[in-house]
Amino acid sequence: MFAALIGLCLIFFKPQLLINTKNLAFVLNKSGIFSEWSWQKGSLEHNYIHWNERRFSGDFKHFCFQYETDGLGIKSCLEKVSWDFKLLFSASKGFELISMSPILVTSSQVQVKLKTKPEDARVKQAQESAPPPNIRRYWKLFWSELVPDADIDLKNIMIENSEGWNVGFDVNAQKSGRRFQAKSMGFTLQADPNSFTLLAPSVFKIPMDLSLVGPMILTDAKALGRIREDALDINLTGSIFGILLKVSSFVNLPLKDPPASVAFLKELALNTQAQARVDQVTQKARNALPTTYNELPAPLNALDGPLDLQAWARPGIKSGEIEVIVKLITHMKGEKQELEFDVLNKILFDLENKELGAIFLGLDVKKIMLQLPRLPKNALPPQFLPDGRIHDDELSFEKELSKQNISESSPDINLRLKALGKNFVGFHTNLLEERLRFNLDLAIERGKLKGGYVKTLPLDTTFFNRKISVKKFLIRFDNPEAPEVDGKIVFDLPEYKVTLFLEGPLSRPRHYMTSDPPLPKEDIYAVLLFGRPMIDLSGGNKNAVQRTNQVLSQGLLSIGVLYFLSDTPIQAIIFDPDSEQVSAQIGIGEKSSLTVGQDSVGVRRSLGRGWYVDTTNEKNTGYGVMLERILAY
Amino acid sequence: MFYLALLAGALLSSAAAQTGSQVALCPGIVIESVEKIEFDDTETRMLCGDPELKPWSDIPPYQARFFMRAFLQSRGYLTPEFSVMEGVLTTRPGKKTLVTQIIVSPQSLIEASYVENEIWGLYREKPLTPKLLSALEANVVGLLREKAYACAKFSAVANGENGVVVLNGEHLVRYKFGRVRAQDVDGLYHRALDRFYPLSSDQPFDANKLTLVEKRLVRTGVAQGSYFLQYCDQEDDVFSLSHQIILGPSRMYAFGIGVSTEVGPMFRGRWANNRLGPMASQLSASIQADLKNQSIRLGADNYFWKDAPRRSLKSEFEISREKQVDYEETTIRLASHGKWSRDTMERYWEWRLGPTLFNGSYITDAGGSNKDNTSGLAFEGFLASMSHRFEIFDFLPQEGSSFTFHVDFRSPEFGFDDRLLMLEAEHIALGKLWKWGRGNAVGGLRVAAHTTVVEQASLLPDLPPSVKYYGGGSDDIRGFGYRQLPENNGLGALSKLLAKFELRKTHFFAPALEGFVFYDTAYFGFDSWELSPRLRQSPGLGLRWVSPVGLLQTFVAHGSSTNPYQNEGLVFFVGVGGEF
Repeated sequence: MFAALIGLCLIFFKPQLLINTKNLAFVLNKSGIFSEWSWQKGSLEHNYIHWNERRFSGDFKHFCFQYETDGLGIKSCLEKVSWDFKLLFSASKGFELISMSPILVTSSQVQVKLKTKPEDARVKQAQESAPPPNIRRYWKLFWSELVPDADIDLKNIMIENSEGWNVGFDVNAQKSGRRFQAKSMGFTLQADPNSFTLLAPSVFKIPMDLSLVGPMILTDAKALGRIREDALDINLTGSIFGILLKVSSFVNLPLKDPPASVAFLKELALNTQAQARVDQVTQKARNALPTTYNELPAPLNALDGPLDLQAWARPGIKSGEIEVIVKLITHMKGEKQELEFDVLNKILFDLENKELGAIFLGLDVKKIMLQLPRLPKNALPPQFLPDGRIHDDELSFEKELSKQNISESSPDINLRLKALGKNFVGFHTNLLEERLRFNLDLAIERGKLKGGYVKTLPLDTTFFNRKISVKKFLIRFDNPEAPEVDGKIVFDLPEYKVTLFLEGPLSRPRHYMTSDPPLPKEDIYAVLLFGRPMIDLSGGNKNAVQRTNQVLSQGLLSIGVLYFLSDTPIQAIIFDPDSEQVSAQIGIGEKSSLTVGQDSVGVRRSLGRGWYVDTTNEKNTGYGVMLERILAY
Repeated sequence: MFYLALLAGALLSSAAAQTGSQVALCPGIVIESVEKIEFDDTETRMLCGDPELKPWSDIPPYQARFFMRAFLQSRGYLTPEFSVMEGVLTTRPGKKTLVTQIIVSPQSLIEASYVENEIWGLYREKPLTPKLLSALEANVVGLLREKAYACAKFSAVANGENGVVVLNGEHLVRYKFGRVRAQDVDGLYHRALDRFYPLSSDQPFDANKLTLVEKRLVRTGVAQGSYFLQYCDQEDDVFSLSHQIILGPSRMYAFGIGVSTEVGPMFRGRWANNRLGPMASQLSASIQADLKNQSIRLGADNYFWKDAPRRSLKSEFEISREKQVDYEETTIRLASHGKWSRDTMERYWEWRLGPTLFNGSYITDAGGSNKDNTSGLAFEGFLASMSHRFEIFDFLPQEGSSFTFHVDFRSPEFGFDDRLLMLEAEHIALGKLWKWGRGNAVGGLRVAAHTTVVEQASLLPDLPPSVKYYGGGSDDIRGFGYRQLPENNGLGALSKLLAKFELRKTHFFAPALEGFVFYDTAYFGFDSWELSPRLRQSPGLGLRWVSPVGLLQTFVAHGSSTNPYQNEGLVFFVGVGGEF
């Protein structure tokens, strides 16, 4: 301490004894700070102003040096380095540094080489266990009068690594009193003792190739920092393809943990919030993506509207874990269509092991109303989705087979779909005049349905010109392997009120019907199908096929229910109006979707209004065909 | 030169055919295909857009390609190639892929080879489509669910390039039925429906038996429907079953008219209460008439005993008249029999035993115009047994066996003129012999042995037709007219031995068609326990169609008799219904 004071006094009162170019050269030679160095012309000046006040100035031309460490190599020639400041001492303030003019550093070339260095666990541990930097102290020091004004202009800074990657840029920085500004690569950093602002170039191309229609352009990007006594606030804003981005975060000061530590990362993540907003999703996608893929699929491409994304984090169950929450809110609208839902995505992240944990997706539907494509009324709809069981090349076939042989665990992705109460998922379809709406609550774990239900909201509609009322249609997934259906549908027909009950396993639901006034079940089928007596359908000149199709299209249940009831006698109601005979089966043959298995063929077939064709054989009465009317009560 | 030009033309046309034609389905969709592929209106709208529906008016090319792949898959085109140029999707569907091999996995499954053999014939060389894969999966699961693998699941993986299909099974564990939780039915005693269960808790699971429960309930009219819910927990290896019943109305009445090729016009009226009382007893009444038979029948099958749900009192009152070519008989019959039934592992058994009061009159050609009367109290016994596989068929069984035995004892002590004992036994056996094309070769054997034991003093003409035996017709020896044998002016026979052999080819050109050849034989005897050496025989062939209205069959049979040989000529038959 005493020696230091003596040294300081010596420098102050007799600086020329220590600070001169000769000694500087000697020190540089002996210290080995630079592996190589030289200057063309250098001078160090000291002026006596007062007993307690000195002026120091210096000027070097073409100061060239080469600095080498294990991980870094810097080589540059500084065309000019100069400084001019006053150092004064007073009893009240102690030592005081006053810039007479900024420190000037100019260079036309700086080469920086980054050397790969093997990961050293000890170094890493040392970094993690090192005391955290006192950011606020450094910040204050930067703005103290000990750091003089400066004007640094470094051109052609070239940074390259051993793998050939390189980047070149210029840096220009000025510190003047309580203002600091630095510019490089189009970025501008402005700072004062309380805050800083980092401005990106007004148009900045992000060096990433996502096969988009053009480069990813970041516009109006800005980072604002505010240094408070107890915290550092950071706000980032910007825009990519018209998507507004906003990230805000803060770190408490002084730092409790080193920046490389898990505790610091956790604190930073917990204090960070991110937001993104797209005003017109469809339009933006059209602009951003290549032509082939720049449209949402139909019918979503007829919708447009905003999409908001919010992200934040909260502590996980374990100390080193955080739960990242991403919330997506959308409300898109189009003609007779609407899409309004929130997606809450929770991802567990282990900061210590850098591993992703369980992913939870919650889809909270406010309103989904979509238009289904026009579907045929007298045939089953076509196969809309490619079947994943079929592989069109040997490689994917073998891959699938090997996947099936190895019982691999599915990714831990859990999904909860909810549309409860007044919220619903709905469809417009040409088969119904009214919209079809559902409530649902489904839980999917590791890609498998684990439970829940889907139920229709009450529906009173007209179906093929007849009133129907869906009182209940509930599919329960209590046992996901064998979901059960529970349904009640009332058909308000001119002469009859028919109630269809569906229950049992969804794969093969059983049905029964009641009618008012009472009819036997087969008769109810005919009334539902044809809505009028078969005798009204006979005669005429139209050919049989046309007439049969007409009967079907005027029928009440048409394909949907026929499909459901395909293993019942209803499938066999075929009437050839020309011959007035039961002649064939609906959809028989390969071209039809209503092909009926032989096992399901019975011996009694309804003709409507309680009339049946019965080929039941009875001993002693021979074998024949009977036209029979049956009524049950 | 001419032949060279012809050859060049042929080569060019062949090349053109291989290149295929280019068809624009709409401005944005082009198909290059050798074969013409037609898309229906819905498919076209999904590919090209629907101008009448704004949300579906614009289909991006990648979505059209997605739909196109699905539509082509449904037709068996599994290796299509696509290209998109300037918003136009060009599709080259390639060729249809046919099923070339079916592999059931894991091969360690004992039944793997059996399953492969069963399904190969049905699906070989068929276009490979998603629908076919679903059918394959269902078929395999169905076969294994007959063999105790209650929870078996199969998923198909298909190679679209070479038509190889691998069916991967999981949860291949054999289970027993365990305790079936049956739904309590209002108004019925909880064991009332036990008689419909062909299964017990310690038996290996067999899905056919569940189907049989449902069929028994529906056939008897006790319930309108029923279904089983099964629960499988693969992780904990738990399997359980519950049975739900859909009751529906218990009473019905019906009336109808019809026609039969063998009995002419028919009329029938029926009434039934199929669920009477807490044990679901049955009550019925019917009236029926055709040119040869007329009858009024009242029946009751009363299950009185709550703790013995398979025991009942079956009563019947019947007034009937039968008029054949060479005899006529009118009978009043009142029977009240005890009835028992049980199910073993493979078969259903039923016994009936009890008195029957008869009163009747008859007239035969041999007896001239004299009308004979007969009345008294008879004792009847009846035994029936059929395998569950036989019972499960609604009509025209293809597998399994049945056996019936009927005994009828009449004595002067109980009012009859003659002492007699009728003994009637019949056995039917059917089974798959081998795979034949897409179907099976099914062999059938029906043997019936009947005799009426009478005292020596009795003469054939003195006995009523109902205790004698006749033959001929579509359900008997097929080369002869309906009940026209043994051609002795309606006297009939006291003994009869019938043997019928049939070989069927199922899936005969079409799944619903069945071709068959047969050889029917019968001996008649005019004394008890004796058969005359005259053999009636009829080889023939025919075709059956399992039509929407039931079984339609036609056959041609050649009837002949031996000792001495007599050619009876050809008999053609076309009819609805029928029995082997």
